Amino acid sequence: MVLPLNIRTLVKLRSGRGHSAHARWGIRNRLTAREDFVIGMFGVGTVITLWCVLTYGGIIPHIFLPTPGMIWDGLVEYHTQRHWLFPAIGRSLWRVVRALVIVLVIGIPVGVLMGAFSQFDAFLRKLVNGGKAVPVSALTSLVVLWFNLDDEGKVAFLFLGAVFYMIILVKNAVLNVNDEYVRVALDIGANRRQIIWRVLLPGALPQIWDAIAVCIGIMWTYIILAEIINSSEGNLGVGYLLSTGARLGGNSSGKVFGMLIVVGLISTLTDYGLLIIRRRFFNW
Amino acid sequence: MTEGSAEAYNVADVPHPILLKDEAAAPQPRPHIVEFKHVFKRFEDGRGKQKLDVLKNFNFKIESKDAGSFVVLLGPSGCGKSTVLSLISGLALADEGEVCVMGKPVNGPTPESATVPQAYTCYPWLTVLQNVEFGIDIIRKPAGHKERRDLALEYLKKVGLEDRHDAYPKQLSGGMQQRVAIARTLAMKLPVVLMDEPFGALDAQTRSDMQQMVMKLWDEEKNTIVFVTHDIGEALLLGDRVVVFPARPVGEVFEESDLDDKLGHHRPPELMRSEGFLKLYEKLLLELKKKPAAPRA
Repeated sequence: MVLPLNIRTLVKLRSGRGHSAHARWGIRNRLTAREDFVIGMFGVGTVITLWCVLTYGGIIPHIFLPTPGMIWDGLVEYHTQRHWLFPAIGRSLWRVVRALVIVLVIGIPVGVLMGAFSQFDAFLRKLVNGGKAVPVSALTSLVVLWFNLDDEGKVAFLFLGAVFYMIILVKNAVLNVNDEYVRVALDIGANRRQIIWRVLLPGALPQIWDAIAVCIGIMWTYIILAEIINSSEGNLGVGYLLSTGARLGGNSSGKVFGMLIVVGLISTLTDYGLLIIRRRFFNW
Repeated sequence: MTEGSAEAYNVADVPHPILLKDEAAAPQPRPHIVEFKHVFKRFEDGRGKQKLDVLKNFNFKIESKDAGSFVVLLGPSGCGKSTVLSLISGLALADEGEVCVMGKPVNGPTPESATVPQAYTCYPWLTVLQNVEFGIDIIRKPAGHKERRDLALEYLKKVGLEDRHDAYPKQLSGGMQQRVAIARTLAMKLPVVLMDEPFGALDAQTRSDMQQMVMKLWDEEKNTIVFVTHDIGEALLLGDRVVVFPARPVGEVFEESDLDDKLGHHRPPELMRSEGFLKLYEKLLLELKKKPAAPRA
């Protein structure tokens, strides 16, 4: 890349945007989207280069950190030899989707009622906070007891892990709706049903959407745990592929790192998709 | 305003030939538009320990003969004038005494009144047109969907925003958002319209434009308007009757009425520099500075 380093660009850089004259390395300096992207890619590139040097150069043992090629091979092995990769991703996602539907069906109405009526809040608040206080990983034993942690059990586990958060987040979203909006509707003569449907729900929608994003994040975290425990080839999932990868032998580190990247990528893409929908449809 | 809606509340003011005869036989007192009878209102301070008297034996009325008048409540911030509006609208209730609107005691949101609030209260998830429709949708007047939409458009036109009906409030300036709120409130065609410092957050120029617009609308619509402000100039420019709230607790209030005769019905901004206007300004300023008549308990 040829840097256009003449006097004019230097002056431009020095005068800067955002905060005063400190163009580069100014405190809380603002970057353009392009600068941000370039620097971000530079960060990613640096780590990948360092990684290649360390692994291909034989400085770090491959079982500890595989080469990028080994990661690719590991994923290809899962896909072509065992035909596990995409079915596992699909079944993990399907579990998350089922759990999410139940979480929404229960969490949104309960949260909205708690945000709208103090009596509901007083009745349920202590129970919900109690439920949230139990560490989710501790629930695995309960779900083993109830469902033997098979497919339904994993869905139940995800549901238990996320529903209390959903209720609390939805309640707060409703409470955060500007009081003035409610007053206007009351003044006009709206009844409770109209205020809930036409003011509180639409007003809370952006934050409810954020709550959904948080819960998907939580569930995607716990699915790994749920699938590591009591999993078998008949009960595929990304968690199973992660834990089996370490035991299968051969290129085990490639498989584990490969699955980590797949899991991270799915999570990132989901977040990004949700954000785009939020910006497009719930932008208030 | 259309004929039909005028009937909704002005019927009492139109001398109906048959009614007139009946009245001659047995004169029936028509209900006051707004009446406060010995009203007390206290607020708890933050910790709920100290009670703050806002209204103390407060009496006030807008008589039926003054239907369609423009009443301004003038006073410093926190003097209780907004409380009076809340009591009329029914969003707050009196601790003691009685508040009546159109002859009916207030014990919940008043169906005969609506408020143009201080802050920008347009719903950000609705377009400008949908915001205006919101009020008439809730009261279901007129009944048809199409009619409601047409009515909303008509009122958007009145406030000069018909070409922005598809915009969202976020895309509008503060003054425009307040115009949407005014259209939303007036489209409901209620007998009493309350305005709680609606122009408080606007810059001077926009404020002046809005004042002229409200005066024009008031001429067309003939609602009874109760307008709260802390600005003496605004009070004198808009009001036919100005009620001065000196300080808490409010018991006795000073009133300057018949401003239509003293300052004229049509009051352009230039009037603010005339001698008559300035004299009244001085007078109200002195009243505002007076100590409250009732001693604090």
